[in-house]
Amino acid sequence: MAMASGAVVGDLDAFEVAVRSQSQLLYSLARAILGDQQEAEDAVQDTMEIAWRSWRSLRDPQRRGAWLKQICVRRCLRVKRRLFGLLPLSEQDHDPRPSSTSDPDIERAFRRLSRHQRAVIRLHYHDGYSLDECAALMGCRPGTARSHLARALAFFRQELST
Amino acid sequence: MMNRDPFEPRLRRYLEEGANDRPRAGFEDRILRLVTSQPSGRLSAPRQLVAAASIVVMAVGLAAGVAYLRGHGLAGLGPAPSTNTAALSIGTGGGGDWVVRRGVDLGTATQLPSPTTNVLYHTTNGGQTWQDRLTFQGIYDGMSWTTDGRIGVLWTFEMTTPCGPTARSCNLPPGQVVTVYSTADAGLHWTQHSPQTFGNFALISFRGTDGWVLSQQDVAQGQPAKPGPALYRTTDGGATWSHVSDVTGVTGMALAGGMWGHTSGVGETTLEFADAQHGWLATGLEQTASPSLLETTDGGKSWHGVTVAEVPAAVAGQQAVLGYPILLSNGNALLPVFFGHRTDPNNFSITHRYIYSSSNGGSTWSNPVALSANGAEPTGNEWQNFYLDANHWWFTAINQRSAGEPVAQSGPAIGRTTDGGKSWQVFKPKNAPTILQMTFTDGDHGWAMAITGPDNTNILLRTTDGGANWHQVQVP
Repeated sequence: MAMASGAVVGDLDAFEVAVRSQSQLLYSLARAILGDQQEAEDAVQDTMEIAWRSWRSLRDPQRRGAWLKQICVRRCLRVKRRLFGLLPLSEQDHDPRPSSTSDPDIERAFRRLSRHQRAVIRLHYHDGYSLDECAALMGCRPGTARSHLARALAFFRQELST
Repeated sequence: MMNRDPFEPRLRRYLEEGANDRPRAGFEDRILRLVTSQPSGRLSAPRQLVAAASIVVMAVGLAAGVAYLRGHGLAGLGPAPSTNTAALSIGTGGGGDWVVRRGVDLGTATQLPSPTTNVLYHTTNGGQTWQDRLTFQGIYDGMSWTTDGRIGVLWTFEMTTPCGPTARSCNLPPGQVVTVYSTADAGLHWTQHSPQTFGNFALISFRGTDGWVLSQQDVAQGQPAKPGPALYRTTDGGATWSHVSDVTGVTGMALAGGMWGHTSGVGETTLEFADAQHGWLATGLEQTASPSLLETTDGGKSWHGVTVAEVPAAVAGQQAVLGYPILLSNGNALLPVFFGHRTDPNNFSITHRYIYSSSNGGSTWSNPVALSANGAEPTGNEWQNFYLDANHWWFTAINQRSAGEPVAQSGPAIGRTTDGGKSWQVFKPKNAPTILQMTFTDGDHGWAMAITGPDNTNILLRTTDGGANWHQVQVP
């Protein structure tokens, strides 16, 4: 495997460990937010590219997981805005996960959430982050994360009660 | 105690199933091949064109940025993360000379959250020296001071207890537990008041020792929670609370469960009171369907929608979302109003932003001023602003379209007006950190909390020239 300029053997080994240990986790996170397999793979690849460029600046290996997750989340939330330079567009994505889910009603409602809402739902309810931490990962204020979650839960209540 | 949503276990199960999603076979090998074999930006094929342009831009930007930063005191803010990452918040309402070093640290996020010890620091000399005034637990949410700076309150949420052996097993407590700390001697001594449980997603507003909480559910201590929002009030700095009203019959809060929420593009829903009787609740909903800003003149017992009479010709026929009033001195107040259209239930696409003003304490609003000048305007749903008085305003996260640029590019920048929006200066230092929070004590002196580096290290910045130049200030 060729080595990027400026990198040392130890960097490459550690980076490979991170790619192999974190890619699946980041992929499932990206897919939950983006709702699309190809976009999720692109997001993880972008994440790793960004991480590799700054690999040596992260001195504490124990923080790599959180660091990669933050890059990935923000990349997922930013992608359409970066392309169009506008406010978030309609974010109902279309990529039916092969129906392995045991709860199609929940899945249908989850898919209709905005990306920000999906992100905070996934980070909070599955990954166990507090809303303060969700906000830090998403790059928004805690009150905003709280509101995203509130709006998402209200939507679930509405959808699942009908 | 409140019950959790019945769908929550189903949601967790669905997320758990999704966590088993895997990329296609050989994905990791592909990443390693693509990423680590790029000596200097040899990217995957679709990105080569973008990368080529980016390299040119980055090279020019880097050279200009280094030159700029050398001359402007930000040269030390490189991308390398600090080994001592702090989570900071600037205290507002107390002249901005208060900083909270928050205990929640992203670095611990994947581990079991330890007790979140926060420290409140104060400076009287622009950050040259700091005094620690309070050590407290929980998640810091905000602070408020009287205009003379003598009486202040600070409040926290408890969000992640109790926890199991890992962060994943942490749950939201049933209800929102708020703890208020108050001082009557400019912060030298603080009193911690008993924690109070409210419904989830409480909005909190303080004006001196008068405080209000609007919570999603009506929670009476020891009683089952009732659905629908409820308003609570304290007049003693959070020592005791009383139920004001159930906030019923408010069409602007017509979302399921009487919920208010966030609409991307128009800022946050916020509760604000000018005095014991006069208050507002920004709902984030558009004005045509339901009031986006609710007002009470009887201390929260009843609410009605606010409208603005003067609609600029440029936005005739468009939907409007009213923000929340910014209360200034001498009865002056400002009101951001966003015009555009809703693209889906969660997003409002803004075409124009205006600032309305009031000289009667927010009873009526008039004289809209476009929040745009010199081709620059705020963008995104996280733009930060600060209004010192009727003339001095600042905002960040702007788009500034340049000639030949098909899409305006956003970036760290600050726009400032000193004449109430008639003219603007845009300060756009290259490679400047992204400002998340900003406050000014006068037209020149201000503080900002910014993030920098790949791990978004929090840093504190100080300006003495109205935001044109910033330098980093160390917090203990």
